[in-house]
Amino acid sequence: MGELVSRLARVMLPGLALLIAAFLVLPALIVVPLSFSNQTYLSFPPPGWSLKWYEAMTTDLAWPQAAVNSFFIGVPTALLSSILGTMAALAVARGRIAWAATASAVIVAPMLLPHIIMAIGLYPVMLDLGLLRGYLGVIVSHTVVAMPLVFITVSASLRTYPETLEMAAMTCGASPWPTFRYVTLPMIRPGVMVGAVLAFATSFDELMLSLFLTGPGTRTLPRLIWEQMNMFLTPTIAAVATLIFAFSLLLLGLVALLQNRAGANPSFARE
Amino acid sequence: MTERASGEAWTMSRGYARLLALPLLFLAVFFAWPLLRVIVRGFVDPSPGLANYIRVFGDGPYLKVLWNTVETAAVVTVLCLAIAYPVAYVAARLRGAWLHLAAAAVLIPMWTSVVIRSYAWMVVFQRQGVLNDALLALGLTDTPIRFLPGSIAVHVGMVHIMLPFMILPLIANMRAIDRTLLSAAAILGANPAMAFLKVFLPLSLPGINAGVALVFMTSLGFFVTPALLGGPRHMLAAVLIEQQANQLLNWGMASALATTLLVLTLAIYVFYARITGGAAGAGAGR
Repeated sequence: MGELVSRLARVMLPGLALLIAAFLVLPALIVVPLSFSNQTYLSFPPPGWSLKWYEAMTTDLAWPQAAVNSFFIGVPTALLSSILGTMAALAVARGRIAWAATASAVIVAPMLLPHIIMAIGLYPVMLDLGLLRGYLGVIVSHTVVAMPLVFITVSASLRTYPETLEMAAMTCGASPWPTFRYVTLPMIRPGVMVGAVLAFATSFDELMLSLFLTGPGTRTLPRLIWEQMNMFLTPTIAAVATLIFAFSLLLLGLVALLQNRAGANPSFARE
Repeated sequence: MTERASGEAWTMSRGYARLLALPLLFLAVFFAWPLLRVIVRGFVDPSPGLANYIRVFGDGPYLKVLWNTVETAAVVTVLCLAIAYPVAYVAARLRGAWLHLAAAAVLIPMWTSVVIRSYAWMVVFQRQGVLNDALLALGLTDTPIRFLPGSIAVHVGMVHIMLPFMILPLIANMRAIDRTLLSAAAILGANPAMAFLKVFLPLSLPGINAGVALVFMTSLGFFVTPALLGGPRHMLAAVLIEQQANQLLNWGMASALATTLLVLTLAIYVFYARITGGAAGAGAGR
């Protein structure tokens, strides 16, 4: 009986796993062909092919504008998140703070709480500060939810080598900044970079905060897609989605590359 | 000499500890302060008192939406676990090219925009969509089924988004499990099913706990998927809060609902932080 079950499992499990993998990539397999459809309605598979939705996307100025906004918000978010996230990770990993676990929990919390809660809290705060509907307000808000990612990746990097390296630098007379610049940073650079890419990706994909905090001039790609989806479902969205998808794959490849390189680093992890 | 070194370490760690000031100040102003305003607003807007909460927990549509949110999150979590566990079991043993392929299958959807994925599900579930075409072709139905808006579409969309967040902690956990223990159990006379139940399953519990907490907590805050695929009949908390604030300008009510959602999520987060020992590292990505 048990033998039969295990034999069945051995045959069926890989098949099941393949099926789930297919389920996971299904949306991409639908959106990409759809963007090349020659029809207005969303029939799948498309009866004929054309590039007209890509044309429609470039002639409607709202799309390029939203793409530019997404970068104007995503890149500063990545930078700010990297600085604050790295500082926090250094403090928690090297600072011997008594309440380090609590500090970690507080720093990671914004990533895990529903964004809607922060959105309706940040709206009046940004209104008071005069930052509503401007770039800065969204950048700051996205940093709140993106910083935890840098914190996590840099914390992981800091665990790969002992702090005696920094202590050695300092006992040899290096002051804090050169120690960071020439000892710490080279060691944690992959972690910082992966964190920065993840922070950018978070901002690039974020809808809820953008919905509340951007205006017509600063609205991001997810917000524009969202607005368009609620009005009319044309394959233009599929064309935009395909480009975003390709870009996301690029970012994913970048992260994989960085992590590979981090893995190849002379590591102190195995003692 | 050792004393000197430890003194040096002390000043060094003090210097590092100071680095926490700026991030914490940032979070105080742009995280804690907004949350505090939400909590306070639920009690004072439009007038001081418990009026908003009496409406939330009274018999109205609000409590139903909150309950629906918890129920949907629970169902999505159970479905994710049921699907992810066997997948992780297989994937944790892969090596080489197959491992890369499995990683791609999990990571690519994670990196695809949530808005775009919901759009894809709309194409699948619409009246003349992929699913209805398939059902008609197979003769399983004579007339197209109306999936949108509906709870099947919401569940499928949410499971699709949360699945990687269940698979990844499980794989991380299962890769660390020494599979020779299963051989040991077999040598001692356990059949494979018994070995799995008594040895592997208990060892994979930390992965299950982490995945379940993460998926459940995240599912409570879902907005895009239920808003696009669920419609008014399958409304979830985040959609309701957005509607109250953005469209009805009923910020007091939105704040009371958000505070309720916050308490619910925090309870799970505290539990999660305890079982993973403080540093939450499993959920990188969203």
